[in-house]
Amino acid sequence: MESNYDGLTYARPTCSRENLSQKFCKLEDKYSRQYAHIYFMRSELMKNRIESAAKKKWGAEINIKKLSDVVKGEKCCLLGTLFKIMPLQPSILKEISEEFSVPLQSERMRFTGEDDKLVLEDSMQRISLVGNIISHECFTGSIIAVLGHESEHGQFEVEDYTYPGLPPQTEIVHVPKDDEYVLFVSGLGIGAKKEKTMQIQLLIDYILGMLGGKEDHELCAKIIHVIVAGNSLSKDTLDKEFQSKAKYLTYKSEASSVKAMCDLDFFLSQLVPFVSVDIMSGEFDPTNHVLPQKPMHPCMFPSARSFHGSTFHSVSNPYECRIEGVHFLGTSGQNINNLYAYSTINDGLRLLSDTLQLQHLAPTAPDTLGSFPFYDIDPFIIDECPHVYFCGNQPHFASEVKLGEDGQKTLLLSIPEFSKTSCAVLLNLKDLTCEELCIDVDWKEEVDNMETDDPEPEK
Amino acid sequence: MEKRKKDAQDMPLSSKRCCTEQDSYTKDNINLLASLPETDVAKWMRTPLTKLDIKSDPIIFQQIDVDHYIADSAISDMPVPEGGAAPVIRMFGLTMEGHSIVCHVHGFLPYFYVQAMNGFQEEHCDEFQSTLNELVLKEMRGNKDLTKAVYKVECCQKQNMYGYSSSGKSTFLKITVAVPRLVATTKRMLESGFRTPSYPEYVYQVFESFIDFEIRFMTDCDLVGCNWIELNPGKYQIRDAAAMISTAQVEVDVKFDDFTSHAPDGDWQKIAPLRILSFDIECAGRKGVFPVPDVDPVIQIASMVKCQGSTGEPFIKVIFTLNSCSSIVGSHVYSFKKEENMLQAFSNFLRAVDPDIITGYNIQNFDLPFLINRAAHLKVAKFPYLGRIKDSVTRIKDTKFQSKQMGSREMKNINMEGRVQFDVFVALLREKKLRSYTLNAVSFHFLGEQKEDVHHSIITELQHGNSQTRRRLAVYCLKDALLPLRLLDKLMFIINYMEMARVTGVPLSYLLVRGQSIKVISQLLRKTRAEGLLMPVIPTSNNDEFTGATVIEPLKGYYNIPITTLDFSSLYPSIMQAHNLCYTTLLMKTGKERDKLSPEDYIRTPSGDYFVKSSIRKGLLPEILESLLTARRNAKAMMKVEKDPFKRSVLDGRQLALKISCNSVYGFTGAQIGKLPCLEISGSVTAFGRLMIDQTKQHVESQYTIENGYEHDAKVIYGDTDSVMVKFGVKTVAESFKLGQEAAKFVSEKFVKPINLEFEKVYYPYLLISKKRYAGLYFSSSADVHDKMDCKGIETVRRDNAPLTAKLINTCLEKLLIDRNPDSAVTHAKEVISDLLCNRIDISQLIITKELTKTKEEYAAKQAHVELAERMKKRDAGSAPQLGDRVPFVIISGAKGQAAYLKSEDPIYVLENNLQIDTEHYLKHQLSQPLLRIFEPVLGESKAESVLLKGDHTRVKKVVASKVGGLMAFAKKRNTCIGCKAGMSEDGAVCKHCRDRESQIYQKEIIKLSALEEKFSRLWTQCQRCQGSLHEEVICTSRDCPIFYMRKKVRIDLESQTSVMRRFGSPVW
Repeated sequence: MESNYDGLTYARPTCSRENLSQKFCKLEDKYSRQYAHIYFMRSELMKNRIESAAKKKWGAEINIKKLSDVVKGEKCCLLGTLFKIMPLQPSILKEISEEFSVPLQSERMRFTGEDDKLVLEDSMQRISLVGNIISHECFTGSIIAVLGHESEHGQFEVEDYTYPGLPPQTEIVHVPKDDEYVLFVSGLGIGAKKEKTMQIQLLIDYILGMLGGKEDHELCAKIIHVIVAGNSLSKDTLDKEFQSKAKYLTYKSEASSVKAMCDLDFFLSQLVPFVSVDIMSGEFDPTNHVLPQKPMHPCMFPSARSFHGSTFHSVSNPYECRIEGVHFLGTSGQNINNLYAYSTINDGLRLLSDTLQLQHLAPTAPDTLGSFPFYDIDPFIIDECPHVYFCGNQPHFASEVKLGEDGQKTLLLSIPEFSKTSCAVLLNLKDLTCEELCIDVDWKEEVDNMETDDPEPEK
Repeated sequence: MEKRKKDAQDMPLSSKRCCTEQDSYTKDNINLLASLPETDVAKWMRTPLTKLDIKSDPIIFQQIDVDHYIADSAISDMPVPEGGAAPVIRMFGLTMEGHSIVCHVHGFLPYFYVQAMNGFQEEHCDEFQSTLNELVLKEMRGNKDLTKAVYKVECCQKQNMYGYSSSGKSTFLKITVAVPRLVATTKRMLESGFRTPSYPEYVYQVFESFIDFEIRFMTDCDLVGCNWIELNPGKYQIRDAAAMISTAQVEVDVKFDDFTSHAPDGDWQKIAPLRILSFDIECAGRKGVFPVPDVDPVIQIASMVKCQGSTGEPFIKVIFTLNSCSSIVGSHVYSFKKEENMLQAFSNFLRAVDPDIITGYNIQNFDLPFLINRAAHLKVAKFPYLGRIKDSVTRIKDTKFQSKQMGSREMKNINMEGRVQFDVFVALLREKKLRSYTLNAVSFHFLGEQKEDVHHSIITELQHGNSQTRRRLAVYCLKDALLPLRLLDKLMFIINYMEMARVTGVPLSYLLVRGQSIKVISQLLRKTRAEGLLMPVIPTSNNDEFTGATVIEPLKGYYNIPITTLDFSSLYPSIMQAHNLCYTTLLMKTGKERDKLSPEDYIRTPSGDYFVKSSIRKGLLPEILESLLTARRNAKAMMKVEKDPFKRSVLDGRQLALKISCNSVYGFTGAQIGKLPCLEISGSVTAFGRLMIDQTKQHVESQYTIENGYEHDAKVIYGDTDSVMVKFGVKTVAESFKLGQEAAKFVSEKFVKPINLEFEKVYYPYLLISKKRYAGLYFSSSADVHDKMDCKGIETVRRDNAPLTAKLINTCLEKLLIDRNPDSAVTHAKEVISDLLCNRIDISQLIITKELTKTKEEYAAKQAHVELAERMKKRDAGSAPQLGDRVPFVIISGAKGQAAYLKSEDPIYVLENNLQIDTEHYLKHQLSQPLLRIFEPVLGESKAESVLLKGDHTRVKKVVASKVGGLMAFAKKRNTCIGCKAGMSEDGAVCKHCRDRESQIYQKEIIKLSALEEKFSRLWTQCQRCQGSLHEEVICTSRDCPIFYMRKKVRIDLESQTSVMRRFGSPVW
């Protein structure tokens, strides 16, 4: 774990890492269940949290009611699960129905519309919400509290509403004295038609200290850990036609991800002898589809797998871990991208912050985001506020410190998609600051030139 | 409640978890009611009436229904029933302010006509009357109430409508009788030979004895269905509360010639704010038996009420439940301890609301009869008073309804005076051709939304749960009550039916329970009455078969150039108009009238019948048609300028009603079991039609030739009833538009007005398969963009086809016609065939559905669905289909040579036991013929078969190992390598030879898993959205829903795929 260049030797510190993602991995593969149980567990587990948030906001004597006990006109507070009725959202029913066999559903990326309706559901029934709440900025599946009254028409006039707020946080015990970096990269996009092979190789070379000058070497020697946040393979490797094509045409062919997976294994095998790497599953990676995604199977990493358990870890998505005492929680981006598609909020950090306030990683699962039909847990509930809350495969790099009312301090981090931006993110564990690391290849000068941007100031 | 299909297996038990909350709801049990709270009843009532001044205030109301009753005593100032009893017409109506009214009309008596004997003297009328009277009274022995049966016999100058006669009017006797039912008796007396002191025995020809009493009244008083009536001050009497026989707010008496009837024009087109009540009931059935009222209780009744014309939600939403039920936002829940109390409460509720129209889904044949029978069984004495007449008991009568249009159908007739029963199910059966008529399918089709379909057995289970599970049922029941209202609105049934009633002059209720002919009779009667013509009574006969419209033999093929279609607009009506075809212009073959006329005065139709020309006499039917068409043109013109969307929809309803009426005139003359069949007319019409199609062909083909300076010789490639398809040879749609318009004008000039050939559309490309089977891209509004793909007679909606067929044919046609890519169509067909043979087709696509109409013994031949129902009954009587259910089944592979009817199987059973579908059967019997039909014109006959049905794609097959039957019990499972399928002795996923390829093999399998997972999550969340709840489990078992089988299948597939994945070992390190 050292790199030797210019006769100088930099020692890369070892990394203490603890995987906290067990709850995302322990799945009994039971599909005989329905989704109602997740919602039930979610509202049960969140009940006290949302109730105390409501009392905190509107006073302890607030009139909290069950939906079935609501009296018309009487001011009260309701707790429940939000649900958005969205006529524009894609519907499998319409897709397969013979009556609508012509594709009426336009290929849109976002599904909000003027006819969207918002309802609140407790374990018994639902009521539609109107008034001071904007449906385009809320998410299906959120547990919220609303204050208002039932109108003549049986709707609930909302005056105010609240989320559970940030969960409690434990302090970092041993803050590292020196700079120690964790490098985040997501969306390598191997196997894409426009694969950034060169950039990926240069990034690896940089991490390994084979590029740049003295400062670079100094810096990269302090990279103690690499987290690959999903979509190591490109969307292009997911050959949708492979599934729909008639069997007589495909029974001899192999999966379209095979070549890309070999390349990924090759890239990883260069890194793992020198730095510890966590590779998270992502939307386009060869693992199961719904959240939580299981780690990619070791049999697909014939080379890198020999380091497994020591410096190479294939991990789940979402992923939660503690590195040098710093608590990390994050996903490969499906949760945030899904919220983006079903709201009008453009700012990824705002979405990240909202989910933290909701104490839930993926409120739209299982409704619009595929999820496993859990029975007695909802693993996406955030019990403890992480120090770093990240999300992969975002359009660009962004970060922000979120402060909670009880002294919580969390770094929100959007990791750009490497295949589009050629950028990774360096996080300094000492002070939890981060900077973007971009690989720029200028072919004209026929010199492989690499530079690092100046660290960006915190926003 | 509509009939639901049974299958109890797939149902997860309803949300047990929510039941944990029960404790907090036990308090509900204390609040069970015995009757409705008075304050609520008052809220439902109509707004109270302000005081009426009978001296100065007119009463203006829209009559909704007209009927009559027999009164034996008189009301002061009204005509006295002479013979001890007299009919009184009753009009039920509503004022613009929403007040209900019953108007008794006195003094109108039933009558009919007979042709007088030659030389009948007017002074003998009295003698005729008294003789006939005595005879009828003798016949009516035992009926002591009547002292006088035949009131009056009058001479009048009339003419037989049937057949042209130059002699003009002659003497007829108008015979007025005491009550309507005497019309038939008296008629029989006269027909079977009748003598009077002055005249010998004579068989009288009877006229117009078949006219319903109400129709007679409406015609004579110029009423049409649902028009506005004005009672002038001083001309009416208001009944005081004691004398009122109905529950209406006002009850008045009036003489039949003392009120004003407004024609439905201008301001009088308006519609009063009718109260429409929709309801649905749920019964707790027993396992495996369709609920019967003697045993199974009614547990919930949901009802919604809204006003016609109001937009938005119903203003009353209530649900009556047996046992407690948690509250429902926006709806009133009334929970009862005893079923008797609940039934009584519903009956009281209905009377309080006093709806003008009662609707629901299949209420006429299920909900209403069930409620009435159940109430009778429980001895709820005050229940069956559902009409507006206080002491009229609502009863059920079985009737049979026969019509050419709909075939024969058994119906239940339930009397509810003053309320129109508008069963949406019945209306849809009449109006729309659908694949399925379940409420679920219909809602999805018209409203674009699904509803939950809860199985009977689950209903009982939910009822026996707690107040929360009953609430769940209540929400479901409410939805079933709401949907009919939404369908009424969406399809504008009320407006359209009302306009039809106005156009044809019959009461609204006739439109739903009577056939087509009553509408034509009503229109005809209005015309004949004005002209002094009489309709004869014609004995029904059943000879003479009917030659339909023949067609020009199609020149089959795939036309990749524009094909112009020329249509005769309203061909049959315009033929009748052009050639003056009518009862009144018919020269009878037996008569001598033709000899008296010169040949210029009449025509010989192509079928060999003779009719006089309009110069001699203008026919009635052509006049009716003309006025209908003029009215339609007017309505359409007014629609264009009308700004108010409501009035526009009324006008649209009217023009539609006019169009339908126009076309039914022809059908009326051809209906052999109808009242006035006249095969000379209908035969001539079709013969003219055929002739004109032929002439059009000749005109077009002789005019549009290269000789005449056109680019190509035109060719008529096909002609049907009222259209011809012309190949002009031009290459662009725009050119064919131009030629089409020109040709339509050119040919029209050759025909008698108002026959008009119109250019309507161009097909490009066009696939002509055979007679009545063709498909093409339809260009009409623009030459650049097609409007739609038009398919006629091609496997699309036939129910005995599997959906796969329709879907495949449709997609192939799209590829052929829209993409113009025969290659991709062939590729697609091959892929589907391959998918079929490899078991990759979703089972819902393979399901064939047939209705179980008779028991096994009654069917002559063995039938697949009947055999299956028997077998299912043996397996589990509870979930087996009952008589009247639709049985869905698939064909599974059985032993070689086994009869097809033995190979039918329940789709759920197939999924659960992994049975092999008989894919060969589907290929051979479902796909090959339709496919060959559409591809033969494209590929050529011999090639089509070899390309589509033979080749590589038919060689890869996958056969599943079923869990039951045959030798499976003896089979031993052995591990095989996932990669090469070789047998393996050790555990693990792959054999040692495949170990190097483990990553590849894993990736291939994981793709399958993730695709299944995605499908799983999308399907189940869709069901959650559809049921409208996140916290409750999906219990819907709607077999019409394409998701139902898919979600079952995806679970099974996921289980098996995860077990494959498990063999690779855990991915967690």
